Amino acid sequence: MTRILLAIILTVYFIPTAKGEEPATFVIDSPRFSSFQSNDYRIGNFDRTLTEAELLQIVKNKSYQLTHQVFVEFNRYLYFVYIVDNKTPHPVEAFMNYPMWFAETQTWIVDGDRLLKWNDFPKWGNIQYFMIPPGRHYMVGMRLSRATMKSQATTVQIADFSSLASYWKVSDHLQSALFGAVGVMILYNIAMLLVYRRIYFLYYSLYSSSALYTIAMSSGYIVNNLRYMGTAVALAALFVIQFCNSSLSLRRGHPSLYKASHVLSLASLLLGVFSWLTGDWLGLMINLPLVMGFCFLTSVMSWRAGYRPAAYLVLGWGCFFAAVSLTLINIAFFGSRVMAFSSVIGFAIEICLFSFAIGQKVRLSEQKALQSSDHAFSQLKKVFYPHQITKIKAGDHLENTMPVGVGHACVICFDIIDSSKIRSDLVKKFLEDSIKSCVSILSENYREDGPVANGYRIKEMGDGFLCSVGYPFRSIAGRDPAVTAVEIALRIVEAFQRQVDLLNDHQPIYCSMALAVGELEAHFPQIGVMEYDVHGYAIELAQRYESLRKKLFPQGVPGHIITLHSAVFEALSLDLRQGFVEIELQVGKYFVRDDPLVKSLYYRLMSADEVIPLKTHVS
Amino acid sequence: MNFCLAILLLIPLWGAQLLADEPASFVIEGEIFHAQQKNVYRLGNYDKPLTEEKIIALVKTHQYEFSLDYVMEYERYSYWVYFVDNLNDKPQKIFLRYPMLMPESKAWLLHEGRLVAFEAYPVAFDIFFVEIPPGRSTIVGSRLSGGNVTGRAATISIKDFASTARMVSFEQHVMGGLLGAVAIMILYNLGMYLFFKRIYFIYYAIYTTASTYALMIFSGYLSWSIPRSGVGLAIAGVGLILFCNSSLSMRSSQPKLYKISLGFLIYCVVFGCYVLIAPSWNIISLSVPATMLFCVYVSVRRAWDGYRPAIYLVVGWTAMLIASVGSLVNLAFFGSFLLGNLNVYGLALEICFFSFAIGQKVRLSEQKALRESEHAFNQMKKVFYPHQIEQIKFGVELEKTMPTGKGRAAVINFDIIESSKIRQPEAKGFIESSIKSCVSIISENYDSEQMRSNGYRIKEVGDGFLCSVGYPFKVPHGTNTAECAVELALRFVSIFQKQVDQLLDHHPVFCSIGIATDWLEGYYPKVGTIEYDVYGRAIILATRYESLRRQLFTDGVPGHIVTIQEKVFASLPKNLQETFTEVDLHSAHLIVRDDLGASKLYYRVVKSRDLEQLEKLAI
Repeated sequence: MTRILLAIILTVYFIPTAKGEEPATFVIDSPRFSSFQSNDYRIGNFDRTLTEAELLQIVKNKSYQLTHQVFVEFNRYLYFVYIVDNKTPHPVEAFMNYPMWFAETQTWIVDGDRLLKWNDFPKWGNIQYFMIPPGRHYMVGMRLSRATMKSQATTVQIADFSSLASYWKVSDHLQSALFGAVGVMILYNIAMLLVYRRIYFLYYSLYSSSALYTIAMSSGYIVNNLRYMGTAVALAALFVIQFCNSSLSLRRGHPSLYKASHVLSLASLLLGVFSWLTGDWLGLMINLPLVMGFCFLTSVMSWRAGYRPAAYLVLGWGCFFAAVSLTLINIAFFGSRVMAFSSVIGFAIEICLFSFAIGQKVRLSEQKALQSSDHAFSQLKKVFYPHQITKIKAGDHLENTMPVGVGHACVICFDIIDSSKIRSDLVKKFLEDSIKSCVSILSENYREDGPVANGYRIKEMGDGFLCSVGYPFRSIAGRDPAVTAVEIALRIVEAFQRQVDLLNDHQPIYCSMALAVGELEAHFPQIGVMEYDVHGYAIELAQRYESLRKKLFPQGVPGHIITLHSAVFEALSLDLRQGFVEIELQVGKYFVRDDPLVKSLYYRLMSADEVIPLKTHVS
Repeated sequence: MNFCLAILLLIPLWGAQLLADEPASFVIEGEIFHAQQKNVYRLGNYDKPLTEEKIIALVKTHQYEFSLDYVMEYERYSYWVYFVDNLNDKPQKIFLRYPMLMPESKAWLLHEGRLVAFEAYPVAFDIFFVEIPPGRSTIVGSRLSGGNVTGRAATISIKDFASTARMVSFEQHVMGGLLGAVAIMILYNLGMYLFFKRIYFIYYAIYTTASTYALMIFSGYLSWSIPRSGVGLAIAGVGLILFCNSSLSMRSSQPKLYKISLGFLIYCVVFGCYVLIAPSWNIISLSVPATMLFCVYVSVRRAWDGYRPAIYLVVGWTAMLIASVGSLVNLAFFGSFLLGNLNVYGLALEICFFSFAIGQKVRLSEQKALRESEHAFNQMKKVFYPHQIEQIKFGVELEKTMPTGKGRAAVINFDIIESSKIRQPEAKGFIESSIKSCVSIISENYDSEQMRSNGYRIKEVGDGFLCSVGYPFKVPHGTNTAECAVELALRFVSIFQKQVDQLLDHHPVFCSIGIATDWLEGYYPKVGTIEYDVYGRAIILATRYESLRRQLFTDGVPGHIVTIQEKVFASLPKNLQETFTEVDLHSAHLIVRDDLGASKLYYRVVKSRDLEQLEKLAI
């Protein structure tokens, strides 16, 4: 009988024990503890909140089901039971850290026939704490979800204060560092949008803001609502696509991808609408990989096409994907709390690298502007004098960069005598080199202030040129243009003879120059191409005097010849007059067109030997 | 006996009374409390940490000194006592917050004759907690100071758990946010330095890093050390001055202030060295504001001058100054932990705005390049044809934008007959406007892609001009060179007559046009300014034919004259040929200079009555 009784007692005793063998959700075995749930006892999803009596009845009847998955439904209350086994001999203060911030969350501990409510911890998200006595205890939990989703029942954490405080020390800093970093980049790029008026700054800011909002919601900083999150993800997708389009110049670089991006933008918006209507997680799960994959692809293609800003986008996406992969690996295998922040860090790096891409693009744009400016000025330098370039750079107009109007000058008309008789294989180079070396003398003593120079090249004509001394470029202070012009003419003869000397075994080649003084008028044309030009009586005279050598020496000129208008000769010093011969035109029955009143002219002949020892005053 | 007993009883009571009379350092009441320190009982500064026995002995024998100021010495252990009155009737967990972070900070509760160590809150800064009984508790504190510093004993606070948790969470987020923002801005600006190679990015990064380092010391994130914070501030000062100098272009715009800034630079370096030798807080409080005020001043000066990046600096400084003032006001009156981080917000805003300033500066540089480029191209437009501008924009060299070498062309030489006889003062205006209106039609039918045009203006010469047809620009489709040239010439006549008609009551003024075809050579000069030019026999012949009108009409011309070469005539359609009169040069005893082979020429006298027909031709 006693044995039967004992057997009954033992059976009665063991029945609850057998029931008590329900695996614990959390085990506390030391004053320092931190663990994630190992299971979940699902009560169900309800449209309304359950009363305390109903909950106690459920726990008493064990009307819950062991599960390893959590399934929440949009706008419904999820109820569940956790079994916490405090194996320490003392009561411990336990903190329940729920993932994300749900609209309503509550935890109770079953204390006999009543439920004791856990305290809310003053922090973002759903954290509650309570002093748990030693032994095995039933907790009832409730969460109001604003999303329909499934996940593994491994996301709720229980820990002591110090362990959680250590964790928060890391998580608070990392999360807020991300907010700070992204926030400041958004601000910065908005400011840059205002400064540069380039649309990609706006897309970047909008993408970053939408993505940050999504991260803040999934990290428990904002009350979770999949409608909002779905919309934010759709907007982030839309803006990141637009950002890629504009920052990678897809329209121009990859027109087919550009068209595809529009289709994808539309798909993202539709998935956003789907998320809004259903509150289902599925919309996000399709949208995110699709858009990221596309953006990554476009970045890689642009990068391979040699577009440098794309390299930063590739790097940014690469870092982000690596970080997401690391997070997933961590969830599956390690469960490290530090590695859990890989995605956050990855996103921060991505944002930074995307910003580099914009910076690089801005730099390219600036370089393009600089190159364009440099090239423009390098071309202008070919046409204009340095003082003109300086004035144009300072914002002045071309018409104000050269003297216009009437001025007094001495014109030199230079011609190579019988250039058609120069050996055909040498003629082109000789003409080029000789004209070049002679004309280069004119540019000597050039100074931007004034402007001042030996002379101004009016025109080149194959085997000759026209230049003026004294106007439009001023001569060296205090010198008569006629004197300077004669000195320059002598130097030109010298330079020309040097070129002739380079033609070995060639018949002598001579040059002819004529100098005339008079008024010149400089102007920019009123219409059409605004080429600076000078014209005037002195130019015509110089040409007439130069052509007189044919009449003076009908058999050919026996040396280099410089012909002077009488006014030029009269301005010369005695020293410079040496060597010039006067011709009385009436005596020789010569006639100078356009100068009927002239009575005499002067010329000087110079043989090749005579030329080289010339000493001139112009240096 | 009773007397002895009375004395024995009085001794502890007297001691207790003495303790009770000592003013409490903190008073706490209620579940939620925030007690700010009121005084301190100084135990003294020591070179070595005291043993627990020694501390107890010192407290028991009341070897502490009541004070309203604290005194800490560099690298010495400060000990003190606080009396905390817990007015609640149950034990209370208190959280003691020390300002800043110091190595080896400790706190003990003197309980039942022994020291019970506070537990450290696992955060970045010094927070300790312990449970104290109701009534008065004695707390002993110790810190190893990182500098010589004195101040009001009102910096330590005691809070309850929830308030502390809220404050810690808030501060961690604020500091994390700042660190994230600063880190990404440093990274970003270093990246920008690599792209733009502008030194102010580096100075910004130096200033930001150093000032954040100093702020972290003052905020309790890094161990308190006056030498280290002093060096940090000195480096920040150097970085800041260099940043201001380069970002505000001080050297060029404010040379005097630039020189003064160099003095401040030396001052910062000296200060950094000095603070290492004399680690006193007073040194820092003297030097930092001076440097900052100088930088504020230069920013305001430059902003006043209208330099836009300086405006951002001023805004940044203003934010920083407002935050500093707010922080001081909070410290003096409110003690709110939300406002306690105003300095952090200020620095974050300042860093952000400083970065805007750099962005603005880069933009200005880009805009300058763009403006210069645009201006350069605008000036080019005055000299070059649109196709040349387009090619130059694509990077083509000027010399390749116009045809060079030889080509066949018809040259038109236009001259106003007896322009010197035109009535003054209308002459100048008449000549200018008639040339202008004639020249304006040369560029008609210009096609930049195929390089076709009615003609090319070679040169304007006072009362005439030269232009070529067929080279360097091809004639418009469906026309031949000679026909195009003659038609153009007839349009010149028509336009010219309209100008003449405006000279009221004036004797007739006619124009003379010579047209000849032959070779022309386009070229760019080898030296000097590379102005495109053409020369060739066609120009000479056109001039010759034009001048023949003097011999053809020795008594003056009866109308506008168009004289054409035989070759030109031969290429004209019959209907046009019929309008010209042939001249046999032999029978007329005429010679065309430089065209000795010519046997005929053709001319057409255009009178006013013919102009209607010419109008139709023009249409």
